[in-house]
Amino acid sequence: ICVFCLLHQILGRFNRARAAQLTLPHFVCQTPLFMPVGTQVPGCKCCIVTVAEAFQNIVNVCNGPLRYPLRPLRNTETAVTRVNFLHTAEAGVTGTIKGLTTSQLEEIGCQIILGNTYHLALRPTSELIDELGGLHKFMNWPRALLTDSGGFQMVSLLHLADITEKGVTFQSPVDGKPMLLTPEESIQIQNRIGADIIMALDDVVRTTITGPRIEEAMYRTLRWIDRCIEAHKRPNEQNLFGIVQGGLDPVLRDICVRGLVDRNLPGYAIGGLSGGEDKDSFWRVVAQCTASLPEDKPRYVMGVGYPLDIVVCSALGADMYDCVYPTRTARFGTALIPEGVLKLKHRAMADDTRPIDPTCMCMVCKNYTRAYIHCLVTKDAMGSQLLSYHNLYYMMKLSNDLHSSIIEGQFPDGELYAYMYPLQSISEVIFIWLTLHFPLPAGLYVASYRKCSQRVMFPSGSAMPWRSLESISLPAVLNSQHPNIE
Amino acid sequence: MFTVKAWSKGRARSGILQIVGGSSCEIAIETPALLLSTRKGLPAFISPDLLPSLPSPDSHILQFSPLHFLEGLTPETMANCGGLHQMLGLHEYGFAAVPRDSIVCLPECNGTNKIGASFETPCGRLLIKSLEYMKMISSMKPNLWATLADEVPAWVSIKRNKNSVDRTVRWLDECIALSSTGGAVFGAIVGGSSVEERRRCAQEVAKRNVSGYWLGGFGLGESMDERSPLLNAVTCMGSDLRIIYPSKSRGRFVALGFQVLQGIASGVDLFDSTYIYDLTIGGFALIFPFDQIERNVSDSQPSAIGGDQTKINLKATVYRKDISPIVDGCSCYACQNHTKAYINHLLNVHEMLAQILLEIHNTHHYLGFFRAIRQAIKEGKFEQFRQQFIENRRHQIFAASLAHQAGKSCTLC
Ligand SMILES: [Zn+2]
Ligand SMILES: [Zn+2]
Repeated sequence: ICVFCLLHQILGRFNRARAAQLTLPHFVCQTPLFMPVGTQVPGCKCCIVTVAEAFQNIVNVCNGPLRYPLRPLRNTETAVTRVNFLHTAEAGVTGTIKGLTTSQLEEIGCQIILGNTYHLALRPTSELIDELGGLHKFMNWPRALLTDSGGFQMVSLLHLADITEKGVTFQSPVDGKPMLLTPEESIQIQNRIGADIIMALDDVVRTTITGPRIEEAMYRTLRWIDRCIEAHKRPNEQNLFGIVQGGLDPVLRDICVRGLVDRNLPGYAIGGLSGGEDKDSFWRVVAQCTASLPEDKPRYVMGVGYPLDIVVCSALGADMYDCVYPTRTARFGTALIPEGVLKLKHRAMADDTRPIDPTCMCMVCKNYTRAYIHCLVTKDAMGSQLLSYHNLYYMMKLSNDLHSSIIEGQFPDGELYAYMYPLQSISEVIFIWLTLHFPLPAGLYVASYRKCSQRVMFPSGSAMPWRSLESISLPAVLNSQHPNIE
Repeated sequence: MFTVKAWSKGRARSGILQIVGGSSCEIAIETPALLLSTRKGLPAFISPDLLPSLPSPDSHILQFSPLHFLEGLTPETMANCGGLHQMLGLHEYGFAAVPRDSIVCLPECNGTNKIGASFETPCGRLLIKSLEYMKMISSMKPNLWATLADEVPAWVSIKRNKNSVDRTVRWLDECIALSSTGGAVFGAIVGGSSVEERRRCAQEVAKRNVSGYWLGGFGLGESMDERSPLLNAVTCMGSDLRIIYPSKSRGRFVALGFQVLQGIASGVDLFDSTYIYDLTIGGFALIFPFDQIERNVSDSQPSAIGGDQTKINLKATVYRKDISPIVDGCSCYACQNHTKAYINHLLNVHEMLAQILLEIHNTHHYLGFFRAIRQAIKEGKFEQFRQQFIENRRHQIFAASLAHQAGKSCTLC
C-alpha cells in the first residue's frame, strides 16, 4: 500500500494541457514546471558534448581566470577515455557550470531542483549527506528537490556499464573496480539524500536502438519497480516516481504504463527520450503516455529542456521537465530569447548596446548590454554566471506563462506563442496534433521540424535551432512586429 | 574630495574620500580603504545582485584595468554605453582605473620602450601608448585613474631604472594633456628599489596637477625591509594626497598584513590587492580576529589544519563534516547560509559556488580588517594595533624564516 506525501490538484485545463498545483513536503509547486539541475557537476547529458566543444571549453579554461592543466586529446583514445576526459573537462570548468546561489535560484523562481544521485553518491556520499541532515539542509535549499536513480548517468557516462537482472554494473571512476548499483541500493541512497521526489532505477536503452533489447529493458524496468517499492523506507516523506520505458514501440510503452499504473505510484515519468530520436517519434511517445497515465498524478518527461519541447509536451498533458540545457548552453555563450537563441560570442554582439532580450525583466537584462556580456562570455566566470541567470529566468518565465495561459484557457494561444514562435507553427502543429492525434500529419510540419537540428546562423549572431530554414527566410517573419532578430 | 580626519602617531592617517558615482550620487569612502579588485568591472565571482550584501559603503570602491576590455569591447562601444558606471549598472560605486592588474595584465618591462608601456594580457603582449590609454579612460569615465607607468623590477640596472622614471614622468604629462574626463588623476610613481629615484619621481609628479599618487613597481623583487624607506621617500610630501599602493603578495597573508600595515604606517590611503582573489582560488578562507587590541596575547588558538591562524584551507578533509560557518558570528552571506562542510564539498566537486561563497566571505572579512585599522587610527592606537598584529604572529614568522633558511616551503608562502 502506498502512502502519498504529494497532493496534485489540477487548477485548469486547455484541451489536453493542464495547470496544476503540486504540494510536496518542502514546497508547493505550480506546473508545468522546469527543474534545473541544481547540485554537482552537470549530469551525463552535458558530458555528451562534441569533442570540438569540449576542446574549445578547455582552451577557454586555460585562458580564463582558473588555470587547469590541459590534457591533449588524441584520436587514438578510446571512447571511454574520451568520455572520462570530457567529464574531467566539465569538472575542470568548475563551475562554469551554474554558479548561482540558492537565494538567486529562489529569486529566479525555481521550485524544484534536481540533484544527481550518481555524483552525490560519489562525493560527498549519501551517508555524509544523511549524517548532516539531508540534502536540503546540506545545501541550504528550502524548496523541493528531486534525485534521479543514478542509473542513467552510469550508463551514459561510463560506457563500460553493464546491465544485468541484479542491477547496473559499472567501473568505479575512483579506483576502477567493478561496482554494482541495484534498485534497492539506488533507493537506499536516495532515501539518505532525502529529496521530495525520488526516481526508480530503470533499465535505460537509447531510443535509437531497436530489437529485443527494448522489450527486455521494459520488462526489467517493471520487475525493478517492485524491488524499488519494496526497498523504499520513507514513503511518508519521499515520493517514488516510476519510469515508463519501451522505446518508440507503442505496444511496449502501453504495457509499461499499465504495469506502473497498477502499482499506484505518486507520480510517473516518461523515460528513454531525448536520446537522438526525431521530434515526431518523441512527441508521439509523450502523447501516447500522457493519454493513458492517470489524470490525477504528475507526469514528468525526463531530460527534456528545449523551450519548444516544453511547450509541446505541456500541450500534450505533461507537467514536469528537467534539463541542463539552459545552464550548459550558457557556458558556451548562448542566451535563450523568445526568437530562438543568441550567440553572445559572435562578433556582431561586440558593439550591440541592447540587452540580451529587451522584453526580459531579469537582473541581467535590466543591467547589461550584449556588448558587455560578449566580452565576458567564455573568458570570465562571470559570463556564464550572468548568462545562466538569464537562461534560467527565461525557463521559469516560460513555465509560468504556460501555467497561467492554461488556467486562462488560452493555451496555446495565438498571440502569446505566435510571439514566441513567429510562424504560429506551434499552435498549428498542436492543434492538428490534438485533432488528429497520431500519426502526425505528414508534410509541412513534420518536414519543418525534422530540420530542428539544423542551425541557422545569421550574420548578427542569432541562431534559430528550432525553426526551419524556409520559415526564417520568409519576409513576413523578418518584417513582423516581433523584436528584431538582429 | 579628500580630507584627512585623523592622524595616529607617525604618518598613519584616516580620512574620507568623496567621489561622485554614476547619476551624480555621492559616495564617501573612509580611508585607509581597500579597492576591490575586479575583472572587467565586476568582482571575479560575486555577481552584481550579490554585491549589496557586502559591507557598505566600504565595498563601494572598485579597481579595474582598462586593458581587460581589449578582449572584445571597443572604446567607442564603451562610450556609447555611457561609461563604466552605466555599462555595469553600478551607479553607487566608485571606479579606480589602473593600467595593470596583478593577475592577467602584468607589466612586461622588457617590451616597454620610449613609445609605450608593455603588458602581458590575455590577448598577448601589447604595447600601450598614452593616446590609446587615454582613449580608454575617456570612454570609461572612471572616478580616478592612474597614469601609465614603466614599472621595473628591483634588479634592473641603475640606467634602466632612471629611464623608467623619465618615461613615467613624460607619460604623465602626455596623459594629463590628453585627459578629457573629470576623473581624478593619480600620477604614477616608480623608481624601483632606489630611494633617490623614488624621491625624484615623486617630486616631479608633485609638480604636476595631480589629485593623488599611484605607487607602482612594488612587489617586484624588493625586500620587505627595503620597502619602508621607499614608501617613506614618496609619502613625505603633502598631507592632502591619496595614494594607491598595489600590494601583490601571492598567498601570504602575514606578509600582506604587514605590507598593508607598513603602507598605512607610511601614509598610504588606498590599497589595490589581489589577495582576496588568490585566497579564493586556493580554497582559503580568512578567519583571523581583527579586534586585535582587545584580544589577550596569550590567547593562542589551536593551529587550524591546512592553514594558519590567519586562514583555513577549506579543501582539507577535516572540514568534511564541519557544519559550522567559516567564522562564527560572521554576518556575510556565506557564513549566514552555508557550512564549512558544504563549501568543502563544493571545492571537491569543482563547483563555482565555492569561489562565490569564498570571495564573499574573504571580501567581507578583509574589509573588516580595514575597518579595525581605521578605528585604531581614530583612537590614536595604530602603532599598538600594528605591534599586536606582529606579536600575534611572531612564532609564525620565526617558523617561516627557519623554513626559508632550510630551503623548505613555509606556511606563509
Ligand atoms: Zn534576462
Ligand atoms: Zn563570513
